[in-house]
Amino acid sequence: MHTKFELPPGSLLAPSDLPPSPCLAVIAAAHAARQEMLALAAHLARRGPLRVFDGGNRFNAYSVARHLRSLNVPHISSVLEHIRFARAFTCYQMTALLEEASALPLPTLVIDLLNTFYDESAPLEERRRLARRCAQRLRHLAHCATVVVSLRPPQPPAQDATGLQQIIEAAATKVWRQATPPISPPPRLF
Amino acid sequence: MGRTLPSITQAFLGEQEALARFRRALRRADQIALDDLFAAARQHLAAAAYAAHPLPFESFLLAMLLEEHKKVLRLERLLEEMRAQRPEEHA
Amino acid sequence: MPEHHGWLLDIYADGTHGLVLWLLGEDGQRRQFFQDFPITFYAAGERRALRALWRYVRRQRVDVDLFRAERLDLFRGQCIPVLGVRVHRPVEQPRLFQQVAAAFPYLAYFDADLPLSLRHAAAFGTFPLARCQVEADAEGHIRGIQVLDSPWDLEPARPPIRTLCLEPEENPHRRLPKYLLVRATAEGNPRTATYRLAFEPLRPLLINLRALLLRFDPDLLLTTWGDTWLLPYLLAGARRNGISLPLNRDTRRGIASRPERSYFSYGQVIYRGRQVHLFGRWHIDRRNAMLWEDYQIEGILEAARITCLPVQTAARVSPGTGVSAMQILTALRQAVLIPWHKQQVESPKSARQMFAADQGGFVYQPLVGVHYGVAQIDFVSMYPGIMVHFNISPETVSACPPKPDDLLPLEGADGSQARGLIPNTLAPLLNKRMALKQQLIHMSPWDARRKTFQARASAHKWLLVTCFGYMGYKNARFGRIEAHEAVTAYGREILLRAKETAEEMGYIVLHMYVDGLWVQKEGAKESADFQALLEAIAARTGLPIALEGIYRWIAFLPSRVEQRVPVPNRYFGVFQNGSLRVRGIEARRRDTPAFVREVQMQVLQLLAQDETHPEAAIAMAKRRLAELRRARVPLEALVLSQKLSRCVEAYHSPSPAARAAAQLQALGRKLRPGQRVEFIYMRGKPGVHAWELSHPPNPAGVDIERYTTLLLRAVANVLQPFGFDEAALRQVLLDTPCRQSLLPTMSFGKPTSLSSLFPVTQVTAGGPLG
Repeated sequence: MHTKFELPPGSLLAPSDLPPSPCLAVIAAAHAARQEMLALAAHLARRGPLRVFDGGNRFNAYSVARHLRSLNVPHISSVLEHIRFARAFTCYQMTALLEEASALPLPTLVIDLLNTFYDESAPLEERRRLARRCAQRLRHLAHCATVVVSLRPPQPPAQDATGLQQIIEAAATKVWRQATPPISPPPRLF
Repeated sequence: MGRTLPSITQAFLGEQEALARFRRALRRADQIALDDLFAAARQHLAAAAYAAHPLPFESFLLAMLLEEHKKVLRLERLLEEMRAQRPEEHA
Repeated sequence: MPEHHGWLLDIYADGTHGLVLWLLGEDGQRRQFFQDFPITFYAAGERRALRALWRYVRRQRVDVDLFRAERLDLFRGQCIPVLGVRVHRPVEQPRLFQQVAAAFPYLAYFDADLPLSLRHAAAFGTFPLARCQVEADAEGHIRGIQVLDSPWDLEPARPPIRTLCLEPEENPHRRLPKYLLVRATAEGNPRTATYRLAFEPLRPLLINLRALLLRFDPDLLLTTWGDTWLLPYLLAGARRNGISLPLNRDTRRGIASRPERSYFSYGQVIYRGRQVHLFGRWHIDRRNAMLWEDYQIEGILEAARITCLPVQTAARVSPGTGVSAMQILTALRQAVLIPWHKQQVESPKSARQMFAADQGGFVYQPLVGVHYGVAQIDFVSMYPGIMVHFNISPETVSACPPKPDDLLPLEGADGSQARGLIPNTLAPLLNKRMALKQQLIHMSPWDARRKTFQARASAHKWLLVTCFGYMGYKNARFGRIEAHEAVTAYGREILLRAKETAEEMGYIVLHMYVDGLWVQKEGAKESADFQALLEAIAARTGLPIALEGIYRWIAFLPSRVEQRVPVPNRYFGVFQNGSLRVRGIEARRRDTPAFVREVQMQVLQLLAQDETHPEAAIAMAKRRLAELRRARVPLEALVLSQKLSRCVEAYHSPSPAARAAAQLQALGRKLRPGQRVEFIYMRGKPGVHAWELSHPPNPAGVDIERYTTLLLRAVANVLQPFGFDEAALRQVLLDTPCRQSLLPTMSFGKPTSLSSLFPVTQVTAGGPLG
């Protein structure tokens, strides 16, 4: 059974936020929690090798390098070598990317997993079938090491009409959802 | 398939944006001088892109320095020419 | 058995006969033939699943052969076991495949959705307008077919095509046109017949058109708005009036109609209107044809010949689809499996490698200002040239982009690796383009073939320009991001080598842009002066480079927002022969009103005559501005056209185009993303008047101030390198007091006359020392 947490707006993830034992964590947030995922990649890279898969052209390597600099990492280039990175541009490629990844004892980040699945050029049933395969594969990978998946929920007011988000979240051990921002905060100078 | 890494221009604007607080607190005249430095760095975006440095700001700083040095050299040469024209005044 | 010689007009699947082929006979007869043509698709996956598929297909009531085979998977670089399904009647294949894919979604499919014309091309060497020798029995069943020429021939024999042009005399989306202009022409026959048929009442028009179609029997219906309005309108009218309108030559077939659609391509939203395809003759709608302005009919026929796509398809698809077709054909000929959905993934690279790999072409920041005696030298078809010369293809590249040191030796691929699928596809096209360009260079300007050659060269150009981007396109069947990255890496290296060569030979490099350089050297004035440079660069890069021209002068412009910042592709200049080259300014943009474009070009033409005395240009601009302000400019010249980037309802703050689209939608016209909307700026709300509204705008309400600003900006942009800016021009052109003077050349406290506004200000930042 998975637990749900609210992700405070603007917070960044650190490895200490992740459970100590291998798990499948899913973050659903605007922009597929891009900043959080890049910061997490920087933290993890400092400790050792990891894999990053990107479904939404979101891996801004400059951003990772800046995080490393702010962490006072001396040899940024060699730490960047720890990150093995690959992209998927269609839902078929994303599925193949996960299925071809072997279960290794190193953390895996999947950024914007569902982005290519929101492309309506493939029939919805086909996309759901592929999403289920991805979910199954993610669980398998999470036996060996922590897997963190980020996704971008469909634009409101559509509440996951495709059911794709539900398919991925159902497979997770831990789900973070972005807190809805408070409605029109009162104006103030600071 | 669309690029993943921001273009060098986007990276440049990002770095400039990151210094917005610094710039805001400067005097107006200093702000203008700072803007000059950034404009000078933009002359060499292609070289900064080709350098493919993980922290491109280092390339931008060097580009600023390069343009400053060219200015110094130009002024030096101008001074030399003026000296050559009226040697007695600059002796 | 009778033998027929002629040109292949059309191929399509037929329910009873396999294939139908239309031949335009050398004897002038248009003949229909039939051919058996089974087609095969493949499935790969687990043995058990393939056995289940075998049983499933057996149960369908479709005439098929099933067989096991091994076929080459290009991405894995080896043969894989597959189940082949050979469908006897091609017309049944799409439906069977749909059923199979739905029942066995987890299998991988190959050769599943290929255009029939490509399969036929792979089997028999046919292509649209191929000269063929056909042996057929008395019923028209083909016993043998032989192709007598090649799509790579430079001057193929021209078939005597008969064309019927149908053109409503005004835009039917605005109001019902009064007349249909009809023109019948036949290749090789100087006589042209023209008719003007009234739309109201429709019945006589239909009867006349029917008679004309039967008597003249055209091969090509060339229409304006035929896809989006005319043919559907005529067909509906014919049905109402109980008249049969024989638009098709094949009388057994109905009209094939494809719905309109919007899609994303290279970051742009593209709109394609509804399409009407015919059988046995072609329909081309000039308004819905791709790149009609460049291609004309000769370009379309050339694109069809070399892509082997049917003429009606080639006319309407993007160059990307053309490139894809060429690759599919190569794959079919080499018996390489063609994936239905590509599942090839990117090989992992390190985050460190991303910085060097994920870059585009080399784009320099030019030295802003006016420069004299500048040569522009361009690599000839650089990206396709790189792919062929360095053998770049999805199956030949390694996971990481090449570093400068491991560039292949300059002789290019050393033969140790077999030539890849992409270079195999591109090499003949590249050769044909080079040969055609050579012929064009040596052709007299009055040669009648010149226009045809240029249209064909344009078709080649677009295919070659697109083939690189297509390599990185996500749905490209033989695309691969690593190959795309390798091409850009070679491109950057080659441009840098060219720069180094030029500098070693004493040239100043003013600008570089992807595949071209702008260079300058004291004393280098004529093409012969640059010959040694061209040869040295070609020797050092392995790629041909040519002198595009020598500019008398060229002005590189800064950014509009920040004058200190140079912008790569914004320039204009005058070649030694007096012709202008203009990039990135208003005159080149479709969202500039014709009037503004025209005045900007007039200013440039006057500058081209004498750039040291811009007074003439300023006086002219002043006259034209006065015309505008006295409402003497015809409304048509003020119309702008902008693209809708999304649905009208989806705009938070609607753009002028969206507001114009909303006016049309209020009258029941539906507009889709990617469609262009024409409008005029008006005063007050909503600030626009859609041009396609049936009532014309009130001339008194036109927003003259807005057009004044557009004009001033356009004029200022081209006069700016000569020391003017918008504020100063506003003062000079409008004779209105201007509160601040921003002219750098003006000294304070002194009255300024026009002549003191010259000379030119030199911008030196970023320039070479000296």
